[in-house]
Amino acid sequence: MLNIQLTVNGELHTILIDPAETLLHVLREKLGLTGTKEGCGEGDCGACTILVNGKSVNSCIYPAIQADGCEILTVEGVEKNPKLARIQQAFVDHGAVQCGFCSPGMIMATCALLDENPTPTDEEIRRGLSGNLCRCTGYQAMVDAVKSLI
Amino acid sequence: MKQYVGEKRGRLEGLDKATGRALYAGDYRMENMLELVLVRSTISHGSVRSIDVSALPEDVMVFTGKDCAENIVADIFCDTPVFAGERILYLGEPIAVVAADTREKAEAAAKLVKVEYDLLPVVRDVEDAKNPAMPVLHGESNLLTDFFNEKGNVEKGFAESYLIVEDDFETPPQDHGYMEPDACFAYVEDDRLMAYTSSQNVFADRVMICRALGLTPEQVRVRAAFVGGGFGGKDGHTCQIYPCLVSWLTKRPAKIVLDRREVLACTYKRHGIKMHVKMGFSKEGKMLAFDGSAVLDTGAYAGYGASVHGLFTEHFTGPYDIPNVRLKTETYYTNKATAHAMRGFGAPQGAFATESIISRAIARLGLDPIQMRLDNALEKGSTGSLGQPMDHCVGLKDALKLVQESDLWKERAANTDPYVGYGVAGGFLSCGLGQKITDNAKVSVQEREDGGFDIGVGLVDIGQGSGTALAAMAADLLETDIENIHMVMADTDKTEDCGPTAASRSVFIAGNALMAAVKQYKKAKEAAECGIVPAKGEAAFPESTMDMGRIGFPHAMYTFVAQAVKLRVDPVTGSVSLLDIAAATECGKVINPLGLSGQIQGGIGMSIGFCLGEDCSFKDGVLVHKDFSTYLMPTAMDVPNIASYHVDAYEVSGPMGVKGAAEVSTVSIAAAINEAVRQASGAELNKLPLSPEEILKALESREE
Repeated sequence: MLNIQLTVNGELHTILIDPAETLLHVLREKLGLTGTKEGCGEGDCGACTILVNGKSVNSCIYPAIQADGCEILTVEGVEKNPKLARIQQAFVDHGAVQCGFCSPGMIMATCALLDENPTPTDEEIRRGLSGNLCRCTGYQAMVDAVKSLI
Repeated sequence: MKQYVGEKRGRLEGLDKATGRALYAGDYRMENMLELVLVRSTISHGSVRSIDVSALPEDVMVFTGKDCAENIVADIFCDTPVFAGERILYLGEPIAVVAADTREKAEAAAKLVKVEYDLLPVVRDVEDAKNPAMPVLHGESNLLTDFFNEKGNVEKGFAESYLIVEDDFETPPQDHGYMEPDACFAYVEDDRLMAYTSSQNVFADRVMICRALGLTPEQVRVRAAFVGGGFGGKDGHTCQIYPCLVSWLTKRPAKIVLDRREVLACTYKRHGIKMHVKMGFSKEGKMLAFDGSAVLDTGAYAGYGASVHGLFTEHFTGPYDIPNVRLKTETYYTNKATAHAMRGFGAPQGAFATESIISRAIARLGLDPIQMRLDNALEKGSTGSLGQPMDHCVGLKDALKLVQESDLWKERAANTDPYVGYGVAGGFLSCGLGQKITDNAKVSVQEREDGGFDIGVGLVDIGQGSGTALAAMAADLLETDIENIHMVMADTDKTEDCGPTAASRSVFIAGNALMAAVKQYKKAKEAAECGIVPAKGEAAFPESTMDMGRIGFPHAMYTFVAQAVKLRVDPVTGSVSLLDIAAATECGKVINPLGLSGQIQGGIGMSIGFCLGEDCSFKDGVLVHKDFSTYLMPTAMDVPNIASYHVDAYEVSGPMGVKGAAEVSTVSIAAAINEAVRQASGAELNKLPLSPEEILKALESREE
């Protein structure tokens, strides 16, 4: 066991972790941040997407130890940032939220996409969201939601 | 007064989900909670000789069938044990459940449980199931159910035909692919068992839990947590019983969350089906005869296999007025994960075969694909393939015309790229549970002290948006702002049994009960003049006037679609890129156009996977593609823009004109894609998912 320091949604935490522990496990089980979901546990579905120092990662396969000293943004932190909270509202307004299980990860992927490319084309939006699976929407509503923010 | 019905609206609970505040069953946790992991069989067929748990640490608990009051899952057939023992019927069948303080500890302990087996030959497929030399899995034969019917005179129809087209088709099982793995959280409070389930029917959950644990309904409260998709796969026994059992016996909170590999390998599937379709046509393209036979592989247990069999058969011909129809269908048990309800309920498989045959006939006769379908389309007053009357609103022709007028279809004539193809297909799906099945709902309207209303509905909104649609209807009926409507759903203590979230029935059945409840409320309010009055309303789903003596079909009404696709095949790899989709739907009055588009686009996405990537085949009882890196569901890159067109229609028996809409979206696109691929490559493909190798082979022979 060892201690790491994480700044999660602007708040500094010192956390005792197992060296093999994933960042998703730390967020959900140790910090109680259950907004980040586990859909596959193998980095294939993107439901666990969060930002580490501004870059999107699959937290289910990201070793927590590697995040020591990093800034973490999860869906719970998005709401506190009015600029990013617009993404959440756009998802709701455009019907991009159905069952909602992929929504946190999809919204984090959108945060990363718009940060890197504030004016993406349809093709770039689809590529930006292609690491995140959704079974409800057929993705059209998500593309519409992201386009509304450009 | 503002009207909400007909207006585009995002989900009422949308921000709870988008902010991560919404709690799914796996998000619950309590002090002193146990986490559970199932010990699953490592064989497909046989029996358990012994279970040795001596290697387990002392702080880990193990439970088996002996711990159940009755080791049976209450269901239609009641053939599934909670824990398998005497007989293992599929790979991954639960044998025991391990409980520990953490999931990691439970996982490690589950691996230490040693199970010894006696093996039996594996019934791999329907051919094995029919083989008298192979073991019988249930009762006296491996046949679960069969059906034969002839309408008109099929041989005469073929004799009069100008063109006969026939072929064999095959579709593999499909996984529901809901993003939230199956989960359940349970705890004991005031001597009552409390469960949060990820399920499509909390009342059925309660029956299941009570029977396995020997409890009365009063002792158990089941609430649906937020449900991360179901699509039919959570309308039954998923994993609800296990945490309930452990929690009741230990009095500690208990939680189970399946991992994705368990979900893929062990939970319900769409039926794999082998079909033969023969159709006769006049020179002008009139459909004169249909002869269809099929065998469905239902896997280890009955589940909803018999019901899917019925709906597959009922929809096999497609939504066309064909005078002579013969249908012969059989469903067999095999040693695989159980096939069950999945969005479309048998119709997408049949539509793939039949619409492919129709498209090939159209090509040979040199006809227009939409006009030919218009010439054969069912309409109000015609009879379906079983002879059932189409007494309701039938808008297939309107849907076909909307596709005909779409940009996608209009630009077709100008295309010059030889690798681009355009396909269209029609489709339909019944609404309601069908003949002889109790299909009703009770909805309550309760005025609140703050001037708002609680609307109690026992159905689960599994993500499809029934809560938002019903709230819009309630606001209009009660002439109030939608903010004043509070939906109380899927709680066995606070709502009444409304049956399953299934069969595209929720908004129809609960909407009619809601209208009755509001009427009751207004009457009571008038009589009381003041004070808070509660009111209840009931409704029953209409049944078909035709009774064939079968349970579950035919139905009193259907929803109709026409779906078209533009795609390009890659001449180097044979892979298919979808470029555009136009989808038209007639589902009566549209309550929420945004919600309907979402259902249509989502169902199409799911069937794009069915057509192009998702192969859930089992080899010798073992799932071939075991994870999301090999079981390939479509991403945002694989699905094109989907324009959703809605027919303006009205069904008189529906609340405010509504019919069901959630499932029909899945029915037609695979066949439309298959036809577009044929045009673009010359490949006549009969098996899903479509094979790029076959497409490439066809392209090469076309270019020789």
